[in-house]
Amino acid sequence: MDLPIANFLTQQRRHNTEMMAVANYCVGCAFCMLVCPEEAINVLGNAEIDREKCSDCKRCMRYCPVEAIRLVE
Amino acid sequence: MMKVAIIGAGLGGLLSAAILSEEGNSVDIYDRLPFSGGRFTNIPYKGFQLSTGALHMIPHGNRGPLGKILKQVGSKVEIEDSKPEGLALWEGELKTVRRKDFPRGSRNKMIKWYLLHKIFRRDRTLDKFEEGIDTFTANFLRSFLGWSLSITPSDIKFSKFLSIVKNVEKFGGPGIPIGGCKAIIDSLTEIIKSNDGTVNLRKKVEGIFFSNDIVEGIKLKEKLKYDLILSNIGHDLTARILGDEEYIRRASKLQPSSGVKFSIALEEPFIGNTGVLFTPELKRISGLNEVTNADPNLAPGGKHLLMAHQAVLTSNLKYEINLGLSDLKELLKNYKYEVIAIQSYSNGWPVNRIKAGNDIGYRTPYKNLYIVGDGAKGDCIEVDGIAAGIRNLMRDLV
Ligand SMILES: Cc1cc2nc3c(=O)[nH]c(=O)nc-3n(C[C@H](O)[C@H](O)[C@H](O)COP(=O)(O)OP(=O)(O)OC[C@H]3O[C@@H](n4cnc5c(N)ncnc54)[C@H](O)[C@@H]3O)c2cc1C
Ligand code: SF4
Ligand code: SF4
Repeated sequence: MDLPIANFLTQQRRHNTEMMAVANYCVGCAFCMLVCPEEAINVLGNAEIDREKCSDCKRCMRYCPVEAIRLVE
Repeated sequence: MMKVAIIGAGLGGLLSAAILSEEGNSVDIYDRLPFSGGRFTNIPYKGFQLSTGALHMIPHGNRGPLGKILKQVGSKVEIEDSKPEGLALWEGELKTVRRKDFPRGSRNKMIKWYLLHKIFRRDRTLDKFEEGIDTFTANFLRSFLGWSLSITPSDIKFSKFLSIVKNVEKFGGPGIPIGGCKAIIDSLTEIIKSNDGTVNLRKKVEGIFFSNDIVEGIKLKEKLKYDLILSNIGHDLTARILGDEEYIRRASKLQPSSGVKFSIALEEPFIGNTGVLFTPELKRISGLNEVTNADPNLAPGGKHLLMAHQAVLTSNLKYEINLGLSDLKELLKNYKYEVIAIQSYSNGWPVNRIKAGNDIGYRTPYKNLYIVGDGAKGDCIEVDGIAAGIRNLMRDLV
């Protein structure tokens, strides 16, 4: 199944490798915020990731039920 | 014995798997997430057992369709039936909401609509019922529909509402599982595993393969063959992974319902009982429950977990959430509270995959592929609707 083309709301670059981004089809369920070990995510209708706090563990990506947290080139 | 694949380990998938594995079938469940239970399980946060979706409540407690199936499959989960079932906060007082508590005028209107429905099959949406009735009944109706279905009166026909009222009278009001939603998920998983079924997490089903109108198996990284496939991901997503254009067109018309849930930490109880508190005077919040009155372990150190729910009525989600927050500020003005999570639900992860009353059943264009879960409910609401749908399907499969 193809995912809808993401219109990225927040973007970040970490360790100069990949960029994690939250797509506009994030529903705001806050699973990512609830499981983030660094309290790096804030959700109010949609998720926003604080790049300073993020340790790049990718836990949020695995828990997102709609695959809204994506790695982009 | 059949070889059965279930796509999705939500309540619908697990409940079907428990029944089919009890009957001696070989059942494998696949879910793309790292946990099972979907929108009906716990997610621990700061010592609280928050939920992934549901408000830790079963609409008809022990006596409804879910309670009955759980007993049949041998689940030991304990459900505390709510007492009182529900109260409404109105003009600073708590009111019971039994039939006799509503003014004579609105009771008579209900009888009139009932007769017109029985005799002439008249079936209007409830916004027409609201016109001209007293404000308590009108506002209560809104909060009841907002709490239980995340919809407004214009979204639902009288006949559907009547069946909800009848079910409440038949099965009784809600109940809270001790341990929260996850207690049910864990007990079903245990039953499935004891019957040699498997629950496979972080396994996304990418496709379903078929020839003509018979499905033959599922595609993960590899292709796996099965005799029967139950899909817990609704008609729309199922049609998409099949790649069946005609089915996609039909399924994409189904509208989900959207809502917002607030999880609130309190030092002292606000509701103080196990029932629902409807809030017909508030702008958005339609009701709240306080599950720690049934199970104190859902919060740490003697604290309370209060959950508030609202439907989303405009397309501006932040505006909707702010209205909800201002409702809470007003309601809890004499309490020390902290909103620990605000969770919103829509589109691909909704409150309900199909707005109440618009279900198209569990059949698909394929003979051995069926939908289970909130994409194919039986004649009951929420998780009891899921159980009723599965009960009907199981009768059909025999
Ligand atoms: C805020 C809120 C409050 C609610 N409150 C209540 C309540 O108090 N009482 C009540 O009865 N109901 C309530 N509900 C509704 C209830 O939570 C849902 O009806 C129920 O959880 C849906 O279960 P399901 O099994 O149909 O679907 P889901 O729980 O969505 O399960 C589907 C599963 O399929 C998986 N999946 C998706 N795609 C794939 C794929 N391609 N491959 C593999 N797996 C896949 C998903 O990860 C998911 O785990 C509430 C819902 C919300 C959102
Ligand atoms: S990658 Fe890990 S640390 Fe970073 S936001 Fe996601 S969960 Fe938090
Ligand atoms: S888990 Fe996914 S859908 Fe939920 S808030 Fe986070 S990014 Fe959005």
